Amino acid sequence: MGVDRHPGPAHNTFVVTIGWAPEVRGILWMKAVAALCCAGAAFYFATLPALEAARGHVVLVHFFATWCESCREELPALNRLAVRAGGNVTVLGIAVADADQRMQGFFATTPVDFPILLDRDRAAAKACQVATLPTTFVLDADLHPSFVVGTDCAWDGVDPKELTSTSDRRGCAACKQKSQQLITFLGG
Amino acid sequence: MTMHRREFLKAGVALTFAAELPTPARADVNFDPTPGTWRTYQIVTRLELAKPDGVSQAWIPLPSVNQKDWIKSSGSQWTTNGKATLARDRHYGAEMLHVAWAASEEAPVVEVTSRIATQDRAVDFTKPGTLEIDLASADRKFNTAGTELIPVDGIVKQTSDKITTGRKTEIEKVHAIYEWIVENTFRDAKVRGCGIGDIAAMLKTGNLAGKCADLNALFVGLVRAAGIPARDVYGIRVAPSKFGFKALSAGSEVITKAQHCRAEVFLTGYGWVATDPADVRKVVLEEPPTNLAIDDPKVAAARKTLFGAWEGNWLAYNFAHDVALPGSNGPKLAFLMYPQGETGNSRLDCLDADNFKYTIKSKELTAA
Repeated sequence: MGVDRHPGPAHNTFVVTIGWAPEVRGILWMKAVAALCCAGAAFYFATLPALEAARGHVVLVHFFATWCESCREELPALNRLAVRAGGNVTVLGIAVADADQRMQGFFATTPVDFPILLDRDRAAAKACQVATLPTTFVLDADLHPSFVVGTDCAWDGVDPKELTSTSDRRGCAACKQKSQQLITFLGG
Repeated sequence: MTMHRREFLKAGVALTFAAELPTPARADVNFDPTPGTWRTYQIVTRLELAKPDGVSQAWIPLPSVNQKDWIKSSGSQWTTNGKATLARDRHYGAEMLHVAWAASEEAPVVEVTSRIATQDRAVDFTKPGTLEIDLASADRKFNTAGTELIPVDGIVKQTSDKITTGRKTEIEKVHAIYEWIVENTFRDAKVRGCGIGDIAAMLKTGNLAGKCADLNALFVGLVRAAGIPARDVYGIRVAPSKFGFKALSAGSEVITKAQHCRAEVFLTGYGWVATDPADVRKVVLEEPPTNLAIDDPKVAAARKTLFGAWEGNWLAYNFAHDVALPGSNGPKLAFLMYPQGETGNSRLDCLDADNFKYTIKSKELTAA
């Protein structure tokens, strides 16, 4: 497990308004919402060098906090999901507003194999319009956000094959066009 | 007695509102904070960085609220082997002691001794307000604005509007929000510390569980969204409740984990008024025998009293939100209620007092 301090890129120049779906429990694949929000998230994710190495895999960008009870239970399950996927699913954790010492203490007792970025000032969460924790963005092999899981999720019940087959771009054509423009604009 | 028409109208509103207040089911539950007896306390905060790793810093909140009718701060003194500076937040006036230690210091330590005096607060809503008591325009604007975690637009505004529909006066609106908090939120013992206070997330998820920094922040946000000044007051319990409420007491002289956030609302004619709906939910959860019914006499007493009154067994540090720690490159704090520390550019866990580490002790100097 590697812990990096996020440098805080200048991403606040672009904000996309999100209309979150009503409260749900369990797995929620919010295609319509993703079409609205993933442009902002894609813009942000394009600034993360940590994601480049994962290109070609399905990626779960998971926003969490150790002060969030359901998040603490979900992290080991995400780790197990990545193991079950056999390298076809990559996880990146983003810890929101967590104290450094608390993070170190938590992962000393609850280790995971995926990298963790420290979003100390909530900048990443704001850039991706993350309203609640945990929230997980599912990116396709081109690092394009396909879905958002805007609640806690029983990852042990998710079949990795199902995850990879559903995380395509079909539900997010408008978003794809917009985010591609943004990435082009960034010179990526 | 001569009563002017405007005073009469105000009195009418107050009396109507007072008639709405719930009445304790049993007369033997006495929770009647009454101003008149000042009590003086000495608070000693001792901080020792357990594992210094290079240059270290610490920030200790100091009692910096002085209100002539309920709290007086007599200042603080300190000893340290670091370089100490008295710092003040420029937006809220929150005071803190900032201490810096060189990397060569193997045992950073600071001890702060503060002295404060408090008394009970209570507003009598059955009496007419005083028309002269109003808030300056700039202060009204400041105390109705949003903060990083307490927005006053979007879902917060929508919820506030829904709660206050049909309520005409300030008191009626604030009381409706207070009752809504009491009836719709609950205290969650699993939440670390006093909570985070991210009220938009609470409303969006529908998860209205939390502790004082969550529940009272939600109260403040909803009141502000109604256009009425309100503010969180961050502090710590310093003594047992003289009314016997165990849940509303500091259990011993060691108050390291007794931090508590209260709330005030500004009601024209009455000034800043004490409120604490979060403590009503604390009585529900924690007052022996615990998990009390909402209509339990103890809960009913707390529910009635904590709209307009609170007991002076608690001190206020400050009203501050979004606090930038001087000398730190780290993120702002949502609020400053716990000692803070950094070593080797890593922020320490302020809620882990045993490993941080720090202790806070309280001693009453003047008996009631």
